Amino acid sequence: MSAGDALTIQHLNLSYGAERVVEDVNVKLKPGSLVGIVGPNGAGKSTLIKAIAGAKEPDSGTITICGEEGRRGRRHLTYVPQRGEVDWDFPITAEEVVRQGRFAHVGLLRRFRGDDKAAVTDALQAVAMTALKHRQIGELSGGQQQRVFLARALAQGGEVFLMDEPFAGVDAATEKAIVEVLRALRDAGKTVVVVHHDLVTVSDYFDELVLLNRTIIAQGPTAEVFTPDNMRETYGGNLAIFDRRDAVAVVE
Amino acid sequence: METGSTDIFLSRAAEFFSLQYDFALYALLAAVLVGVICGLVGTFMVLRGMSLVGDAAGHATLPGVAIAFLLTGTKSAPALLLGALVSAVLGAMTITWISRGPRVRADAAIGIVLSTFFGLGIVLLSYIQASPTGQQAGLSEYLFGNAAAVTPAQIGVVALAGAVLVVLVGIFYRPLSLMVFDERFAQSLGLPTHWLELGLMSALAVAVVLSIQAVGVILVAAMLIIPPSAARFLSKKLPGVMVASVVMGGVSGALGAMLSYVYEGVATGPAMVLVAVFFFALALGFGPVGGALPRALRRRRARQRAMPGGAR
Amino acid sequence: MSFLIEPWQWGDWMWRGMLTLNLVAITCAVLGVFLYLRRMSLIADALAHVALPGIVMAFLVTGSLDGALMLGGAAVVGLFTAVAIEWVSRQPTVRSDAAIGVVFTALFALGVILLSTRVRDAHIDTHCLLFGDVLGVSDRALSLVAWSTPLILGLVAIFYRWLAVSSFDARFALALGVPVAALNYGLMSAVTVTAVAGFEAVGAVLVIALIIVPAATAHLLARNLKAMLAISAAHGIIASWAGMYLAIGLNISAAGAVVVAGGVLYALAFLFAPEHGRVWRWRRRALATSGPPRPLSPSG
Repeated sequence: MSAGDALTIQHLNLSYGAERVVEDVNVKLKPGSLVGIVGPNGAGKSTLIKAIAGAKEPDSGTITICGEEGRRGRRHLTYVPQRGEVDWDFPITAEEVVRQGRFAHVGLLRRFRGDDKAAVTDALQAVAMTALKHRQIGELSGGQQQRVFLARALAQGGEVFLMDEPFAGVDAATEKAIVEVLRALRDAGKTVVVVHHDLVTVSDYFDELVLLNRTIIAQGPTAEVFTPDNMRETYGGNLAIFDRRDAVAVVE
Repeated sequence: METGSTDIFLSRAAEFFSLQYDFALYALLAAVLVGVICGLVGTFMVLRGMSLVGDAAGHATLPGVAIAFLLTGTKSAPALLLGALVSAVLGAMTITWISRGPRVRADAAIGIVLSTFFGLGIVLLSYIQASPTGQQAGLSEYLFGNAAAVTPAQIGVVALAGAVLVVLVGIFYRPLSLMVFDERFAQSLGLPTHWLELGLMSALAVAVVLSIQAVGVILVAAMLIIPPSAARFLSKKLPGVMVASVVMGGVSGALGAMLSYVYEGVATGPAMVLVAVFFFALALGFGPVGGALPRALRRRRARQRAMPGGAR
Repeated sequence: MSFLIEPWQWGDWMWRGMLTLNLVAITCAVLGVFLYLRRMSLIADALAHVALPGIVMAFLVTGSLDGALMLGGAAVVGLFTAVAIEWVSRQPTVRSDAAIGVVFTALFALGVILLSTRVRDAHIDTHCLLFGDVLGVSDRALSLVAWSTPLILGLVAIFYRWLAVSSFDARFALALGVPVAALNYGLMSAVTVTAVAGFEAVGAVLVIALIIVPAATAHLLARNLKAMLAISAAHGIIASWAGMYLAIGLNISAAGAVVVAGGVLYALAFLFAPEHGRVWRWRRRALATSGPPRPLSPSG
């Protein structure tokens, strides 16, 4: 393992009860890359993400983030869960959600200092949510909610960003805004890992792809990996593939 | 255990089931009926994730009883039962009514109704008797139940109501099962879900009111929750769960009444609950649907399959 | 005016009762908010009910009705209940509400049987357990509440950020490194201690009401967590004072009156809360379906 890798996964096995859902996964990602994890429903994408975020204990294998394992490694990780998993009735404003990102730095009792406040302000600015920061989280649209969670991740900082379906249920404008932010993160030398569902936009958004169906089918630069053969192998027969001159379009 | 005590236990148990004493027969009938009715109605409540509505409905009977007493001025059973029934239905419907819409958690709604109705009952009782501890005996019977005091007339009422419940569940089985599984879908089919809801809550209230005499307010919830929860480990299908729940409820009632007869000082209500808990523990351990032992076996088989040779 | 002042001159039971009641109400209201937001309100129902088996078992083990031992027993059984509910609800096909119902009724049944067979002559007053004795708070109950309240509120203040973030988004909290499971058991322990400390003073029924109802009221009114905590505590205090005076004025059960006062406060918030009150919603709907179209103000 070279010291420069941002995220390394070796021989990872995950299961639910008796059922093995992820088998022998090996991944190596460099800093400054924007990576999509793609695969059909039930391929183990979410389980893999959970394991990286520390919410799922692996059967075996190692996950190394910025050269460190376990809890120490996860200090470098910033996780954006799937949007549907929180309670929209919760009494919390957009700004307070973003402030939670700083909890990783201020701990339990330290007051928010100038740099913490600046990080919150900048993060809200980056996703264009400053004007709505005093809204209760449930009063925002789906796209706006997703921006707030992205802002929370930005406020938290970190080297590796892990996002579970950030584009699910958001409007086109938000999708575009999110992609802009992800690219800016990549250009700043961060590693951004995104679980993605929409095969039409895959080649636009990501530099690299990891094709997953229980185990890794292929990984590497998008142009090399996103081929009809690989996609067929990943998705089995449930896929119509249109091969045009310059691009592969896929419909699940 | 001394050798003698098992013999004594067996002979006392045989004596109970020989039904030579009327009061034993009545206690047995009451307990079995309560177990069966609660097992049936409870299945729907547990599957809808509304297990504790029964607990709330039980507690919600108290103000009805008090108001019935205030209005009639007597302790006549039919009036008090009717009062209990009305306020239990009201409590259950209040829960479904306030849980609709934003900013209300269904579980909190149950707690709100449970405590407010019960508090109101306590207030009314303390108003009825200037001293709040005046009628402790009656209250204690209401809280903890007394199957031995059930009269044949009451058993007749319970049996009749139970039969009606079974028939109604049979007639409305399809819409009910649909609503339990997916209320939105049931609504989209044009089913009168509001009326079904009212019906189900009324059935719950009836079950609760009929059971209070035998098991008391606090343990009604147990007979509504424990047998159905155990039954879920035994079958994957709704009819299977229903039958298993009813059978376990009835058997818990019978064994509970027997234990109460054999051991002096043991009341029927708590005894049936503990028998039901025993069934629940068995189901948790050995039930074919998700029981601990079958799951462990399956996991082991899977591991062996994963490693040909089966070593380790 | 004299009605408001007079009870305080009848001896020290008034201020003792009021002090105890208010302290219990504040602690319950604060913990209740976190339980409510985690959809665990009914744990309060369970913990309040298992005090009976707790006290009976403590009596069986120690053979005395000494306060400290009894409360210790109740606390141990309370914690056992929380762990058992957690464990049962992790089994397949058992939902968390059913798990609560199974565990607390089972323990309660056991408690009733032990009470009636083994400790018949111990004179454990079930009536007192359920309804407490607000007007006759003992020194022990008062000092217990006086100690536990600042302790629990202090712990909540220290762990506030963790409690807030894990209540809102447990996955994210886990990724931040918050010990979510330990925090959960800490919260359960705090509820158990509060319930046990509050029993003798206010009884099980009132503990349930003081934990669940204020948080529900506050949720209808608050836009952020700190406001919700403040409103919840205010609800607890107002209900306590209103209930206490009602009880004295009408000569009715004090615990019952406080519960009912709290219920009335909730009903008012449910109907007339500025944003989420049902009355405004009905009116908006009525206006929308009948009458000429006119601009509707968002606040109704």
